[in-house]
Amino acid sequence: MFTGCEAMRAEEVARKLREALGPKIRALETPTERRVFLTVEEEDLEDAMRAIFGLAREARFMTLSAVDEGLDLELLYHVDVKGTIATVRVKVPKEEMEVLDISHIAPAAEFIEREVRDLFGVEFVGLKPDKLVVPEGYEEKPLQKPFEGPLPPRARPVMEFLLDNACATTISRAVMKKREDLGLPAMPPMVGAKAEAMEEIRGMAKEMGLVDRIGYDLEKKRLRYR
Amino acid sequence: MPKYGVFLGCLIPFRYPSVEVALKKVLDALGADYTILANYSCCPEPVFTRLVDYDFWLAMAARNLALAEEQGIERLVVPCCGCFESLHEAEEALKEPEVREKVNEALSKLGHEYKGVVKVESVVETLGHEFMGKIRDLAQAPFRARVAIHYCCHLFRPGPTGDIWVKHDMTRDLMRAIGADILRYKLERFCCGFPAFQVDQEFSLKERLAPKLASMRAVGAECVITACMACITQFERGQVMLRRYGIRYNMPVMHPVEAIALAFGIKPEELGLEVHRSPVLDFVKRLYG
Repeated sequence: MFTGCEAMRAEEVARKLREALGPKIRALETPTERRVFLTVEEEDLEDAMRAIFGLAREARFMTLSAVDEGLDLELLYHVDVKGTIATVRVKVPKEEMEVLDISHIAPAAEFIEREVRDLFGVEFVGLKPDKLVVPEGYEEKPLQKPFEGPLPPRARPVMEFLLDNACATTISRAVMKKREDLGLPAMPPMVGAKAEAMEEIRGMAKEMGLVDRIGYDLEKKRLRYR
Repeated sequence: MPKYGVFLGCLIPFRYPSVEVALKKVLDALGADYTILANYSCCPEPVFTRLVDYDFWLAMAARNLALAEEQGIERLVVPCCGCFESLHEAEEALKEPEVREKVNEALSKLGHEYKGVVKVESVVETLGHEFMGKIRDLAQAPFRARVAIHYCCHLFRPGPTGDIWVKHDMTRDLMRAIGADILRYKLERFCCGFPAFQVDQEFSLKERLAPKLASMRAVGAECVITACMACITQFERGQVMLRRYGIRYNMPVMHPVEAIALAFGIKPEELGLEVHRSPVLDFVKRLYG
């Protein structure tokens, strides 16, 4: 164990990572003096790992943990940097299930990457295809959970409508026609009638974390699961 | 007279424009100074959204209240009880300085700020408090029907006096003011079953809606009046669906402002009452010839 002047404390690790990675950092936490959690996007994994291994010659890859969250697979890469454990956290959407193999940066990662692939089904791009903990020909992914988000089925259309047109339901052409017949505008003066105003609502949902929490795809304008 | 703003919500303009037309005609006839709130979003819907993400629910409701303030509205009139609950509960929650500060932080990124100036009112309160006398005077074509009022659960939220019946008492008074005969029935406080419909349709229809309708029919009700758009949906859709179980009702269901508009002498064809799935149009033709 590193002690005294040899050790590198969490705050120092965090400061150096902040300098090295700048805007690529999604979150950086130091819950104790020997623990650092760094969250990055999947495409920045290689840069993050290189930054951590660049902190000290003694940096040592410890292991990789995987957590199936239903919609995403969370991967946590743990590295010992002179007595402080720095963990890089990335989320892999289960629609893709691909992430970069980091064994060219940390050769010790190869074994655990193969184990995680066998058990969870995520593909590490560049990793040799040999299985590790399941027999050849066995294609089940024993630790992979069903592709499910947090919303129960009845709540899904409501939340989709809400983020699609800021409304809890939709309007039919027949009702729009009826409204005009009654001397009303075809659409009421609500935010869903204006694309730019809808961006305000979606922006708020994104900013407050709702979009990620419920698994809403802002580009496709629907939940990632039905 | 305060400056009123009407929060239309989703179900009224999207499913029941007859209520929107009736409300405008009633407010015009009463000479109210009002505008329709512009750029509003869903209240948001008070059940799922609040359970899924309380902070987002509150911020979205606060955005609507902030818009009302920006548009110079002093009293926000809400004709749907579900919307009333969301906006009223948000108004109450935002009285806490810490909560308001947190919500305003989110709103400031959108260029809004909730100051706590606008007051949220159910349409029943607005009409009951400010216009009762005028409504009585203008009801030249009385709504002479035997009415069962369905007391929507959301309206039981107490106001400053703590009296949970105040808004329902006003609904009764308003209907009496336009000439209706208000019938009391056994299951007055029984829920219509709308929330249960989201979980178990058969239970909601057979164990909630059907007993409620039976109780209304037992006292000779000719129509149901309720200020809740979710309850109107449940009563109308539910009566159609109950036929699957061999249970037949044909009870017209209306919003109070539709009945008030008719009592003011507005022609049924001007209101578009055919959007109702219950036999409102036939009932009104019988009533007004």
